[in-house]
Amino acid sequence: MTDGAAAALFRACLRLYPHAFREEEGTDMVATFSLRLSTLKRGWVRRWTFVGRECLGAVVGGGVMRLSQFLKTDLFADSARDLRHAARALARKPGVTVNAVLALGLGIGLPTLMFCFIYGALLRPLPVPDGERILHLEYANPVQGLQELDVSYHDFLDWKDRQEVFEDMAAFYRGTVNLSGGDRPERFFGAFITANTLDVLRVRPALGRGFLAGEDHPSADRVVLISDAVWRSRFDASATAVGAVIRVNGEPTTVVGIMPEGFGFPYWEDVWLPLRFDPLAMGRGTGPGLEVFGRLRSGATLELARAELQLISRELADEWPDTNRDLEAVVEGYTASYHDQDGGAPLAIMLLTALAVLLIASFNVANLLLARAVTRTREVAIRVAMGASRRRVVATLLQEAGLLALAGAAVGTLFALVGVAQINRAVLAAATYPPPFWMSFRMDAPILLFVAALTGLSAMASGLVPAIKASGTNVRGLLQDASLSGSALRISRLSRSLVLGELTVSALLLVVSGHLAQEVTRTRNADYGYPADDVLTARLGLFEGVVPDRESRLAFYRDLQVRLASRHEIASVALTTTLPGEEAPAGRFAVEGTAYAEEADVPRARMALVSPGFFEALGIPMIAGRGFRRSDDAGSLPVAIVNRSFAQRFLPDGEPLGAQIREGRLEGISPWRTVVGVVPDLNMDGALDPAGTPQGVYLPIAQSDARFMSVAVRTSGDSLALASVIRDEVSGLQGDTPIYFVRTLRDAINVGLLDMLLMGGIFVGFGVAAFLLAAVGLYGVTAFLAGQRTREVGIRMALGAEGGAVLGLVLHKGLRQVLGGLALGLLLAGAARQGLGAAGVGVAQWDLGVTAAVCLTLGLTWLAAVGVPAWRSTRVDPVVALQQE
Amino acid sequence: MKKTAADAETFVPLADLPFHILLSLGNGDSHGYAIGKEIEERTSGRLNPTTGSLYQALRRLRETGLIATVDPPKEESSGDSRRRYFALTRFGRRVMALEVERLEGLVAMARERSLAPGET
Repeated sequence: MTDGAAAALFRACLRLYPHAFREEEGTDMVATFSLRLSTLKRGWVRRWTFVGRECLGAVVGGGVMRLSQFLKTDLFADSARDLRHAARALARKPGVTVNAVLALGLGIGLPTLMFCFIYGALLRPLPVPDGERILHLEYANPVQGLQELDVSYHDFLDWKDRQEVFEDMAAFYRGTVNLSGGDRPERFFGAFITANTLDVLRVRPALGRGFLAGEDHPSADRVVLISDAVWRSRFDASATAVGAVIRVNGEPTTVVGIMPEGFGFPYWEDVWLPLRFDPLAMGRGTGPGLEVFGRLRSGATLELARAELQLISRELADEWPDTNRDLEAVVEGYTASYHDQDGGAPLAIMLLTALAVLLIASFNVANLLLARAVTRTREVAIRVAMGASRRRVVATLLQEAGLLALAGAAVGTLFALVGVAQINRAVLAAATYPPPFWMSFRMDAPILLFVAALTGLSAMASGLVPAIKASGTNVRGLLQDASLSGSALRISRLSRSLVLGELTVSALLLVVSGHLAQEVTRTRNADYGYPADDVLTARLGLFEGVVPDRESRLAFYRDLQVRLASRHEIASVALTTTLPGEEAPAGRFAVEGTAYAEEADVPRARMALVSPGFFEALGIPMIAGRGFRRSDDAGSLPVAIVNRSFAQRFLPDGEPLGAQIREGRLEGISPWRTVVGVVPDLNMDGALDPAGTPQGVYLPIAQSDARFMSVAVRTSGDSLALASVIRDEVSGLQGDTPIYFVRTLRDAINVGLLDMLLMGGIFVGFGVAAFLLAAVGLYGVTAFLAGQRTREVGIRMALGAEGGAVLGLVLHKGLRQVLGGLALGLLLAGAARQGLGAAGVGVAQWDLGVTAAVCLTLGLTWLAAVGVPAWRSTRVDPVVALQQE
Repeated sequence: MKKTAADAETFVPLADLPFHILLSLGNGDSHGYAIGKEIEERTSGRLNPTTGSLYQALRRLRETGLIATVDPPKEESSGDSRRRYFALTRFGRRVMALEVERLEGLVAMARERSLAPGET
């Protein structure tokens, strides 16, 4: 860039300064700028940085100066009178006013609803005192690419001991808890927590007390805290519940406290038990994995906590290389740690979509106001001629827009209130699991603040352009030209481009929402290669207190399978620790004949225990070999079945049958198992959102042990009707064992679809709203334009033009808009698809059908919206038309 | 309008940029470019106003009567005649004196409390 060009650019930026300032200082400023530029040391980076900084400085400085000058004027002086004026003007044209209010209502309501949803789902802090100071801590192993690793009890104790950024730290693990005693056995989500958990959260039980120090030692008396809901359902909200003894996982336990209503820490739990650990009795790195949280000291920050914990985890890795090598502490906000890392992107897209709808609504209102501005240009011209300043005229028109926006905000808030109720209902209905306890959708202060911001925005967006346009008309010309046609045409050009914008946005939204809806349907009904709809599943857990040892558990599963198979309603029965399509836990499997230098080299694979006849029962064909038989039990040869991915990746010799594999690490003590069969991949890494590592191994239940089991039964009839059959047989075997998660295999898989369903639903809703708004806007503008041309049409028809030719003339003008809008919309939709893909809501294929349907719908709507007023204009009697003004 | 001592007090304490502009003009009349350059050098680049903010500040100082535009010195008038020169007004000097007094008071207080360098 030459010095001259740079000076010209700088001079251009100076134009933002008020006239007087520029007049006096401009020349000097440009001279100084040039001098500074010429004395700059060489190097284009330095030059560009300098020019950029100078220009930005001028733009910002000038803008601020203008704005403050503008605000200092008497823009809103005498505003009471102006407001009355604006209100009267609105009341004179009720049709336009109602139209505008409804459009803005929809336009403000949708983003508000969306924001309410985002805020409730993602931004609301943990509902405990100073909840935003509670941080969540876990491990990751970046070397092996492992995330979300639990923390061992010893590591937790060391963290707690060595850290200084937290007031205190506590830990927990989540599970399910069996409550019995009294009437019926029931299963709840429960958390095993350190005794100081409630202190760190600063939450007290509503009744009774929390855990005392020492109650988390294995030798302490057994105590339990229950939720408000459990208290109501099992104790009828009786005060005597505190002190009552119930059976928890088969052990007699004293209820010491009732938690306040709505409390479900750490996620959605109903029962709290102390972690009963004795660190001295446990080897380092053993015991259940924990999640850790802490309350930041005042003055400490997330960054500080990260730095300190990173340091501590590195120390621990040095001190305990066997258990801690490569482990890094991950510190996050508590609620943020439960959201997908890429969760922000789809929500940003959704909010942008909602704002696009608001944009459309504002366009519509701008158009309506523009149309009125034309009819009022004369009034404005007279006011200006009589000495009203342009600013005053702008202020009046802005106040009209402001009044409309306020009314729109009221309608929008109402709309959002209804929507929030619907979302709450939908989330509860769609979720097999309850949402986390901190998630709540309601219209409160932060949401209303958002509404206020939107109201201001839409008032500006819809009012400013018409106001400036109307007040900028040539006064003398207007007073002379009685027909107003000149300014009408100028304004109509603007409103046509607004309509183009509306068409673009609604085409974009419709195309994207159409594809998302299609994708949701496709995923919902996907064919996974195993039956999903006619299989009913249920989960059960056996407890030490009830079914004490491995032999009795195996006997229970064997008997259950036999009893269920004997029922005539059931075609076949299968038992497994992890259902097809659910993500199975992963471990290491060594293959005989392969040398591994390091533990990380041992193949990683997912593992599930299955019953005899499992694959046959679900109609899954064997690729090679056989399925498990009843004879594959504890006393016989250890066997395994691998899936196709495992065979291909780890047994590459082409003959998987007969290969020997062993569960566990390098120096494993588990027995070598002979591979007796190969089955297709059954989404062991999760059907909906594969987590990676599809390789998997199946072992017979009888050659292993498990306390939790899923039952899958197949039927030709109504599968849900079988729930009571399963329940009967389970309680027939062992009365204290409840069953839970009763649902079809399809529903079990689609639990993870909730996000996508909501997202798809929201996009469709937005698309339809945008489309309706665009249609109304299109109609309004065409009707207005056609009305403006009544005289022209009248003359043409008086001179003998056919109605059809006139119709064509009007239609022709609009055709370009609709084609342009569609083209732009499709182009943007292509870009949006990539954005969605990046956000993890991939639209697999670009569907021509959906795109064509959207084009057709928009085309037909356009024809109706433009055609009707155009056709009406040809019905005009030429004599009447010519008499018009 | 005659400015009084009371008027001058309303300008104290001075913001960073106006202070440095007045400080530069204490050396004698100067033009925008030279003022900006001196400020940048004196503060080792910490304060490096854009041309826009420099002239906005100069204008504010002029409007409040702390500085005024003056004719260029004779030896330079043959050069760039577009360049305006700025000079401290008497009122500007008074404001600056008040500011210096304020700063001296603060420095003295710091010394008393052994906060100045070399007084550990």
